[in-house]
Amino acid sequence: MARTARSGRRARSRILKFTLGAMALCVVATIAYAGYVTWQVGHEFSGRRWDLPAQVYATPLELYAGRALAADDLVSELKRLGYREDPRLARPGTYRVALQRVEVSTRGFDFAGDTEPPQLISLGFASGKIATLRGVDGADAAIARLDPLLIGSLFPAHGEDRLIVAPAETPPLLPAALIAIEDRRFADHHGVDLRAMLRAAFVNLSAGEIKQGASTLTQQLVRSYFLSNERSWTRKLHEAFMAVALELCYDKPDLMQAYINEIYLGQDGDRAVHGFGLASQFYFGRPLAELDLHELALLVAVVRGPTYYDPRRHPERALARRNLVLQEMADAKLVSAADAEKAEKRKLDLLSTSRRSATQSAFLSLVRRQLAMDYPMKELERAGLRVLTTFDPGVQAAAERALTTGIAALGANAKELDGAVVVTSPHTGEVNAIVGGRSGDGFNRALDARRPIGSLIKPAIYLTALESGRYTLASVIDDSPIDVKLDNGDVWSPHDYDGEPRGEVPLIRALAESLNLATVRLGLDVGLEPIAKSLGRLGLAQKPKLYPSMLLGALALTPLEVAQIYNTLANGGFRVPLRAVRDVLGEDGQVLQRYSMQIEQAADPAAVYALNHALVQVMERGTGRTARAQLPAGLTVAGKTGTSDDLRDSWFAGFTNEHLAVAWIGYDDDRPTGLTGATGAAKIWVRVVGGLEAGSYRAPAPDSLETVWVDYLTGEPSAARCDDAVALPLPAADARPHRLLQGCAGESFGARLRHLFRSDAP
Amino acid sequence: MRLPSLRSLRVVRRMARVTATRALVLALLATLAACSTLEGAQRPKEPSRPNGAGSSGSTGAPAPGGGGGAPAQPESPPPSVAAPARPPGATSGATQALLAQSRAARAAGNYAQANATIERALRIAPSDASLWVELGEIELATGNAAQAATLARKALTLASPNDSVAITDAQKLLRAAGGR
Repeated sequence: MARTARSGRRARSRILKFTLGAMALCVVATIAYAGYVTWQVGHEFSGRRWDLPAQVYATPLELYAGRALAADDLVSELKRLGYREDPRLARPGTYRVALQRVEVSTRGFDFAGDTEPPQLISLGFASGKIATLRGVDGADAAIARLDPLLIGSLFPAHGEDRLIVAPAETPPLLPAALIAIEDRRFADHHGVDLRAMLRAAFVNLSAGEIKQGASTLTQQLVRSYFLSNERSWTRKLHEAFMAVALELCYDKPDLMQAYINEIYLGQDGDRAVHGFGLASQFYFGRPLAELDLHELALLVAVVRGPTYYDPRRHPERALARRNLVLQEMADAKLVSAADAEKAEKRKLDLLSTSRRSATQSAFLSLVRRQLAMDYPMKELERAGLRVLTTFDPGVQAAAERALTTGIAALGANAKELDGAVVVTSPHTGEVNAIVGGRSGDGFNRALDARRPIGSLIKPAIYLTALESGRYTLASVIDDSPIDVKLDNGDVWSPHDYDGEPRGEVPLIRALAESLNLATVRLGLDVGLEPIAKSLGRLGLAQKPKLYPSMLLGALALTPLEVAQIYNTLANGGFRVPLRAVRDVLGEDGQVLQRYSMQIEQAADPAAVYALNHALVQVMERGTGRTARAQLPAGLTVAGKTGTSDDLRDSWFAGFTNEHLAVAWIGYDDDRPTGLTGATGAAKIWVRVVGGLEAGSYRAPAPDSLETVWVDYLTGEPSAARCDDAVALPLPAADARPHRLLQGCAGESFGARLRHLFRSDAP
Repeated sequence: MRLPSLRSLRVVRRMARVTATRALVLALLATLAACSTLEGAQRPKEPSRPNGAGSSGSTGAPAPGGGGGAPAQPESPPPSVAAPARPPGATSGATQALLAQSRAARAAGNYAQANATIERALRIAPSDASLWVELGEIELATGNAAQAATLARKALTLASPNDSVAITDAQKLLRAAGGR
């Protein structure tokens, strides 16, 4: 080299030295870079675990003979869980329907030792109930459970959500199809596929546009895991280096499984759907292992462009690409041509969006709040927890239906009217359903809309009166105009809703008809402070301001807070903090925490029994009468209407034996609705209860009370035969005069005597 | 004349080689170090479903919270001995089956499982007084007397007057829990 030069050797030698030095530096830099990349890949890929948002499960459906559940209800529950009709019951997750009979191959589950094996069960139905439950051997089985519905996950704000699948849970066809479609030489290359790159370059150059990509699966994995989606040469280079580095340290099956769990496959609002495990649930509502060929092919098709080939937004595009995938799978001999052809004829078979209840997010936010007290948000969003909740999909569906159809039935002016529903199981304090509004607009009215509760406060006043021992349900109070002098010198003159004071009335009537004037008198007599204390005992966390207007419900509460108060009443005076979460399981499947029931006696059971008796009368004779008529005649329910000033809020809270439901409707901007509790929320409530398996509210009478007949209008002792006679539980001492020979109001002594000798005498 | 340049070339080459070798060694070391951490690298987690089944139940080991010191025998108060004698109340076959499961778990000292199972039964038959007594007995066995007493009181409000067995059991539980 140096031979051509004769002069300036020094200079040349300097240039040579410089060049060689630079080359050496380049080599060093490259090697250092390669080392750094390898280190980065190794460090990050092993050090960083996927952020696994907590997965939240509903309560599993219990199946047993005698349960009120129609065959149709079971089938819709099975569909919700992604079970498929299959006459052969070939695998778990299938069912078949015959006349009055449903046979199910259940999936089974195991949550920290709470095990339900996968099994074949056969259910016979009669008159809306499960009549028989048999196992595969034909013998009667006592009880079986379906696997719990996955209702969502607590994904973080940046919105990446995934459901990890293990190789055992992955159909072998999936990796094979990914290789056939995305990266044919995956098994042979070392991270980058130079041949494919050249071919792609040639195709793209001759076509004048980008028609073909040449990214290997490894490169795609690198891009998704480490890099942003910007397109530049330096990034491409970096990506290639990282892919090679990744291949150095990992074997192919590991990379494939990482790819299957990492890759982006769709968007659900804020939530980015990553990995085939979650995508399978998101698009089909079923575990990955249960997908049919045409469904698996669709997921593989979506990989190329989850937005462009979004099967819900662009079904034709997605279908065309899916069929292309199927053809290529047949070409690669992964499936037979006949199977591929059959699969091409199938529809997309997507989970309909209506079944993915948007309003489930209302329940999820309650779950989040309950867990946030014990777990840092980071852990919930990352640590792969599993949360078993009290959510009941059937109850939720009934509550959602009740709110939407109920508001629609209120007429044309109800367009912007919105509402909320909370349903609990009063004995256990479990929250079964939360509806935060008609649409999933993100505003959770059940938890966040704090509105004046109106007459919903009255039971707390009457309970305080009954507990004081100075009042019974038959005690008479005065429903006549009253002026209350306030501390600031103003005078408060409340009035009844229909304006007509009733005069002297018994407590039972004042509560049933929600009389304001009588209630204000009663409340002032028992005292604001004791009433506030009662509210606290019933479960109200905040301390209400002690203004007389509190007596008519100036107090503003959320539907959930109201549910807590009424839950204590429905539970016979036993306070159980409402809970949405039963168990939290760690990533290893072991129980981290159980939220078992905490129970406290909050009120005198006898007083609560009498109060609930009056709440039944609300439904039989009082403000809930019209609504109650929509329910089956034999069903005993208890409840209370509530209306705020100027008819801005319409409330109803009430219970059967199994459920407590609170309904609220109103406008978000607080303008008057023109509806009372009775004409608005009560109609929603009735639809909720009508849609549930409701059993009559019942409680055995406490020993200390005696049930006697009382005249509903006056509170005077009465005979059972009289028109306005109502049976009331009174403390034994107060019941004594009622035991004497009684007649009806305005009846002569002679008439009473005559009745005594008739067969219908009490 | 050429020698110096040759020599310098060789020197440069040697230098380069040494540097390269060193860099290579370093890079290899780095790579190895990087790779070594990959041993326990992110593998898709095993499905946690089928595992951990027997570990919390059925081993017969006393459950945590079951007893402070006594290892063999869970220090259970009298009610749990008396409990299995109680005849079925007005509950269905399903709640009876769960009751039996709960008692088996309790006998094995697995109170968490016993508790969870009886809560399942209570979801099915929330008005069954005898199930509330059962739950109260489990609470008492795990040292939660206040809960047990409250549960006994709740059972008493639910027991119909002719269900003398449930009433007697509830009163017994109430006394055992120190609530009158």
